[in-house]
Amino acid sequence: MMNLQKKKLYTLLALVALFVILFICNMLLSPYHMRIINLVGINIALVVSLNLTNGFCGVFSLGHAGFMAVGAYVAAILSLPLVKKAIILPELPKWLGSVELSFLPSLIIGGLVAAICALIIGYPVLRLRGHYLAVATLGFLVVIQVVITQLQDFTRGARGINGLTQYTNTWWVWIFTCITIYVVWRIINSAYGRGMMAIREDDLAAEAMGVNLTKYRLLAFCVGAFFAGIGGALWAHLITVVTPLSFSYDRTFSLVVMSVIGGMSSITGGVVGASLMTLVPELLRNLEVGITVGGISIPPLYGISQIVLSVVLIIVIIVRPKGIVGSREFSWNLFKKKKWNTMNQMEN
Amino acid sequence: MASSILEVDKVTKYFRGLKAVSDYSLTLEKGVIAGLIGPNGAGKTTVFNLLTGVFTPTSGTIRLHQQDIAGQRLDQIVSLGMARTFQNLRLFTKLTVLDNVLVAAQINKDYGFWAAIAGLPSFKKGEKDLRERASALLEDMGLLHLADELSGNLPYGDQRKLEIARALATGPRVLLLDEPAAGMNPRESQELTETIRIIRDKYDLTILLIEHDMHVVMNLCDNIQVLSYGEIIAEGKPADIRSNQQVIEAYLGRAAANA
Repeated sequence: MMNLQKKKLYTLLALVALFVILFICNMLLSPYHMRIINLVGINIALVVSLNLTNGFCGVFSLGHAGFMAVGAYVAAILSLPLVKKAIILPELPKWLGSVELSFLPSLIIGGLVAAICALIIGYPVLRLRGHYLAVATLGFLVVIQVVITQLQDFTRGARGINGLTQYTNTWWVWIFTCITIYVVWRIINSAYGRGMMAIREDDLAAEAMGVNLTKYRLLAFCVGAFFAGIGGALWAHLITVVTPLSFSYDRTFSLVVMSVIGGMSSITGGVVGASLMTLVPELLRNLEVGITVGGISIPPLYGISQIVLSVVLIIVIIVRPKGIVGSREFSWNLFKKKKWNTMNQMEN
Repeated sequence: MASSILEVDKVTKYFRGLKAVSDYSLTLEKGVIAGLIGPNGAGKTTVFNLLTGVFTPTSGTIRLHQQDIAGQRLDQIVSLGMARTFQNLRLFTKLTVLDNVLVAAQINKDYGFWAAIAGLPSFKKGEKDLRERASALLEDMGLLHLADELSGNLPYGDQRKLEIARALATGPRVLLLDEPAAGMNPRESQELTETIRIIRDKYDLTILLIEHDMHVVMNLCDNIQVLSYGEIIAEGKPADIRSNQQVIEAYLGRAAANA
């Protein structure tokens, strides 16, 4: 075992290294590549927060994209410059039409509104279990899309809100990613996380040991929604457009796939899953165009990336049904003992 | 009586038309070890489920420390001081032995959500206290050397002990043990009998236990109730129960009792 001081130092060094690398990337790489790096960061945060709800607490939610949508729209409406707002959303009520918040408060309010939505729908829905809960949260996703499409005065309906300022940059994304990981790590290494895992293992026994099911489930659900809301808002201000279709089934399922591939009840799993499933499709996309390697030219193979990805998914699920990382967790001891530690042995 | 810690009065439970438990009454004096026995399907575990809030009684009252608890949630009843173990082990098998106990111990945690997220000193101190308490309990049950094992990997007997350690961690005044000696060999159940006495004294407990192992029951219990088809058919000291005609009939059948 390494001592705590040393681990803290290593973690700090790793963080500094990460941001130095990002800084260098920012200078050297093209906007296209930086966009991918930013999407990796956002996806990591989204999947790690999804893992808290789905993996650690066992509340299998398919509503993550719904919370992203809420966060994205709220932040977009709040941060839209007044001039544009008057043109794009003339029907907004006065108090909203005359507000232009800077990015940080917009993000936080976006996250909070998403968390409040989670609280409201969570209270009745979290009494359900397993498939029923998954279907109910999927229902929430549908409701959110319908509401967004119909609330024309606030959202411009199906046309979406465009012309958002591109506030989101590498720093916003990766600081948010680090905060998300830190908060989730703190939660799972506290009484709250243990209570959540106990609920996942056996909810009756957890309740019989004094764990308040509703409270802990709601907590996991709302924290997940909060980060999903901010993630959605960051995403919106990266792409600069939000439409009801930005956050549909596709997005929920791709997040769930990332989570399952990496390992649902592990932060490390979330990071690995999100990184792989964001990067690999982008790499494969290059194949579709067709490349010439050493005189041998490969013709364009349209759709090959999706086929390869699907095959990889099937293989991973067969070979490692609990995900690439499983429920293990990264630890600095790894380098010393050459052995993975289960997360429960991690020190606080 | 002032010293009675748990008073159950005429509790009845119907599942649709089926009467599972009828007019079950019990008065537990402080410090007593009471036994609940009866043939399979007599409703013993249903009684536990009624007492701990898994089921709500159809009628009747349950008073813990003079407070009516019928219809309260499990976690509320635990926090009022009545904990239980499960007949068919319900450990958190993918958590470590220590974490299993910590989950139960944290009913008395003294830090909040924001302190945990910020990693405040109150959180660190709270966690340290919880760990110390949990370790002490594991030591009492002879499980401390297994603290970092996944609880699902423990041998059966140790899992039973862990169930008790976990229930104790909630800081109960009344402890309900559902077949604590099930699956144990005679030597293990003898040890368990001793352990139950020791924890009763050390933690100032009142214990109600369901058990099929008559050695354990007769050795340990001050009072015994016999349940058959959801009704109490006999109640008294171990010696009285052993010679009670109705009890022998319920267990062995009338023909055997007359033989």
